[in-house]
Formats: sequence, C-alpha cells, structure tokens
Amino acid sequence: MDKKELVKISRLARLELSEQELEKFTGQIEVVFDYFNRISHIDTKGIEPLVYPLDGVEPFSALREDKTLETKNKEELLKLAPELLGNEYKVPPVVE
Amino acid sequence: MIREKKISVTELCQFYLDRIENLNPELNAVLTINSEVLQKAKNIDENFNKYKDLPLVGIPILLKDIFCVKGMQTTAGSKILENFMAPYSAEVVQRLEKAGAIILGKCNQDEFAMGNSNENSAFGSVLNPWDKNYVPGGSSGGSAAAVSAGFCAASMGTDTGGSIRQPSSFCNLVGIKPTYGRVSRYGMIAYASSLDQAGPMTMYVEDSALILEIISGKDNKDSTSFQKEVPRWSLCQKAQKKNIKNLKVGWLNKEYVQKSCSPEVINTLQTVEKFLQSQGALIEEVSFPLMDMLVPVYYLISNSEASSNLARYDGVRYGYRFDFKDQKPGNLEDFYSQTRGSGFGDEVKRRIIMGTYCLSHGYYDEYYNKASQIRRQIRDEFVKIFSEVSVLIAPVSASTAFEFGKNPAGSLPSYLIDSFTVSANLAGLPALSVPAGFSSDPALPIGVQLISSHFDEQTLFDVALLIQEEIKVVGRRP
Repeated sequence: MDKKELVKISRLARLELSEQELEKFTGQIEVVFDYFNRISHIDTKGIEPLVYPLDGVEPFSALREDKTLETKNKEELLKLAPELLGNEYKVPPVVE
Repeated sequence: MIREKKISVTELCQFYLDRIENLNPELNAVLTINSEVLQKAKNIDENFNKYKDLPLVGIPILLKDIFCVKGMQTTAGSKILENFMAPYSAEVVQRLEKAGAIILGKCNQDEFAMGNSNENSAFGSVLNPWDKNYVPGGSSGGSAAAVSAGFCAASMGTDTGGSIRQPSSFCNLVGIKPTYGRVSRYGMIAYASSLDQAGPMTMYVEDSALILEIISGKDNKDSTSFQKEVPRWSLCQKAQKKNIKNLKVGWLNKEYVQKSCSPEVINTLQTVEKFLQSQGALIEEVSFPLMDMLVPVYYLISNSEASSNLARYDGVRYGYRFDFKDQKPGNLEDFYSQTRGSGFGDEVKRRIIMGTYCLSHGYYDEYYNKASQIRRQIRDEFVKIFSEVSVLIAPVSASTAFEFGKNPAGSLPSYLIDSFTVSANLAGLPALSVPAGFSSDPALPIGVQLISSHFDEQTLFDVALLIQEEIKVVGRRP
C-alpha cells in the first residue's frame, strides 16, 4: 500500500489524516501487509468463507418475528446529541 | 463471608474504594467510580434477608469500560466517547446486578479493545501491579491490574484476540474466553462481532466458574447467543478433585513453542504437563500446520469488521464532535473526517484503514474473502483435533509481561504477540488462562492456556482447578 492508496482509503473511511500520519502509517502498514500476504500461499479452492464461527456446529438465525417494536426512550437518546434542532440532529450541509 | 455477616457489604465496598483512592492514581486501572456504590451497599445491608440468597450478593465488581452501564460514562478507552453516558446497561451488567453484584466502576483499556498492552488508551497507560515498569497486558489491562491490586473481588473483560487471557496471564489471574455465543454481547461496544466475547477475570477458578454461569445463556437481543442450557460450572467448588485418568491432552505445536517461547514459559508448560501426566492424563503432541496463518487471518478479519463497526462514531448522535470554532466545515464529509481524525487514536486509525482496504473493491477477494476461507480451514482443523483429544495446553504468550515501549503499536512484533491466543477466537472455541508459574528476575506471572472444544468450558474449569490446587501460584498478590 503506497501513500496515494492510503489517501484514497482514508477518504472512504471518512478519516482525516495529517501529512505526518500519512507518512508514518504508510510505512507501518506496508511492513504489516508484507507479512499478511503469506495467506495467498494457502490453497483454498472450493472452501466457503467462514463468518459465523459455529457454522455447521450450532444453528443460527438473525431473524426475529416481524412485529413492530417501539423505542421507549427517545427523549433520553436525543439528549445524548451534541447539537439538536428540535427533534432532529443538526449537521453541516450534505450537499452544497 | 458476607452471608455469615462477618463483614457488611458497605464495609467491603468502602475497603475497595479506599484502596482505589490510594493506589489507582499511580496504576491508572480505574477510570470511573459508580457514584451509587455506597447507596446500593446500604440497601443490601439494611434489607439483607431479601437479598441474602442471591449468588453474588454484595460482591463488588469492576467492568472494562467497553460495557454500557446506564447513567455511567462509557468510553471504551477512547476520546471519541469521552463523556458518553450510556442510556442502557449491557445484558452482562443486568445479569450481574440481578445476581446481587455491586458495580464498583469502570476500568481502563486499550482503545476500542485494540491492543495487547493497555498502552493504547486515550486516558493513559495502566501499570502492572507486579512491577510498574511492565505492562499489565491488554486490551483488558485495567480489569487485570484492578483485580490483582485488590481493587475489587472480580472484574469483567472482553476477548477478541486474547484480551482476557493475556492480561490475566501477565497479572496472575484466571481469565476465560467462553465459546462464541455463550455470553450476550448486547450493550458491549463492538470491535469485531464474529470474534468478541465477554468473560470474568478473577483470582480463583471457582469465582470464574460462578460468574460465567451467571452471565451465560441465550439473550434474544443478541442473535449470535445460542440456545443451550448453561451447565452448573459453579458446582466445581464443592466437587471432589476431578479424576483425569485417561483424559487426552494435546500439547499444541510443541516444536514451535520450544523455538519461540522464553525458557521460563516452556518450563512452566512442562511442569503442568508432568503434573497432568502424574494424574493419569495422556499427553500427546498435536501439530497445527496453519500456525503461521493465524495472526494474518485474525488481523485481516478483525480489522475489516472493526472498520464497519466503528463507522457509527461520527459525532452526529452522541460522543465527541470536532470543535470547528468559527470555521464551519464545508460539508458533512469534512465534518465526519475531522471528528474521526481527531477523536480516534493512532492504532484505531491504522486498523480502520487496514480494514477498509481489505474490504475495498479490488481487494475484497484477495484479503477479506481469502482470510475467511482460511478461517474455515483453521476452525475445521480444530474440530478434527478435538475428535482425538479433550483439551489442548499451550502458552498464552511467548513471554511474561514486557516493558513499556518494547512493542510499539502498529509494528509487526506487536501483532505477533497474539500468536497463541487468536486461534480460539477464530474458531469460536472456549479458552482459559490459569496462573502456573513465575519468572525469576523480575518476578512476573506466567499463565498456561487451556483450549477445549465448543461448549466444553467444563473441562477447562476441571483441569484449571487441579492446576490451581497443585501448583499453588493462583491467589498470590503482588
């Protein structure tokens, strides 16, 4: 990963990095990925990726009953916001 | 002792609060104290008959600051959540409170659980009570230092790549990472959702078993928690010494261990091996050819998941927001970038960058997908191993606790420290660290790791209890 790539990635991640950070991180990440690249040597033909670690060991479903539930503490949640406009979160313009 | 009224809950809590007041300014293990502690203690003392049968009645517990506690500051060790007051309590917290425990406060940690030395906290490093020039381990470093310094009866940590087991080993505690899905992650700030698990960190095996039993079990608010009855692990305190004659024990990658670990760690493992053999266990060497892939696969997956989980910290709905002062941000994107750029620490930023890269167009197959395929191979290899043996012994770490600054964050050596612990997270297996030895100069704790098959925490507690009783390193305080 070079510095140009890092700038592109930092934009995707919505992460502002200083010039100093860009320099430092590029070097560090390059070394680390150099080592991580060893995974390309493993033959994984026909292997399904594993995301849920107990796949095949324990059934899993992320679904619940399709019933509308209500948020009971809306006031409390809104109070956590740094800046509100009435009942809405205040942010800078999305589009100019 | 509480039940026999030899000490009141208020006295016990005050004792811990006093110790924290005296010793924490230096150790920096505790970030916040619960302002309601003495009020809750008084309530239990005054209504003791109502509460006396609760399993953890009056027991003061500290929590890693990654667990939401309603009304308390919850930071996950990060500036981006400084002053964030959780609007609800984690399921683990609710179960502990229902069992009568008193939440004393929150412990320091590596930011967003990213680290293995507690040097990555936005609120300063934690010192190892055994020798203050050494790290307590991480990411649950504060939780470990707190128990070993006598700040609480027990603490809670989380383990994504070894973050309970390694600081437990470095601080002379019993630390268990249960089977993935055993404990609800609701209200536990997420780092890598397919790897994270909560677990107790305690002085003794019996305490660990009791607390795990209380917090385990299906929670509908965490769809990855499984529906299996929780075994009565707490009975291990009353049971006779378990007979392990003919128990098949595997020593994982003995050759690799002997090449990479310090002589004292190897010695400790050999002592445990000899002891188990003397009790009739059958020890065999088990090879694991994918050993060199563990750290790369772990970091590629955990960083990817983290980049997704940490996208929510944008300064809009809660937490820290960059102070633009008079200069307004041009647009929403600048607003996000500045907030996140100044709110996150270096290691968090590095991992988000690496994770975003792995998931980005053109690299997804080569990194995230490939790593996930190898993860299945790793997991299946362990399942095969456990058809031959019941439990594996391994180091927790290649050495004892290291000095501050020895393994700078973001360096390859700092990631390789996790070589022995990430396997259990990748495969979803339960794994435990139990104190089994000490180094000589300086005297630092060495824990031994036990790994068993899915759902078999019982064997971990059984074997750990025998080690505790025989080797007698458990219970020592700095």
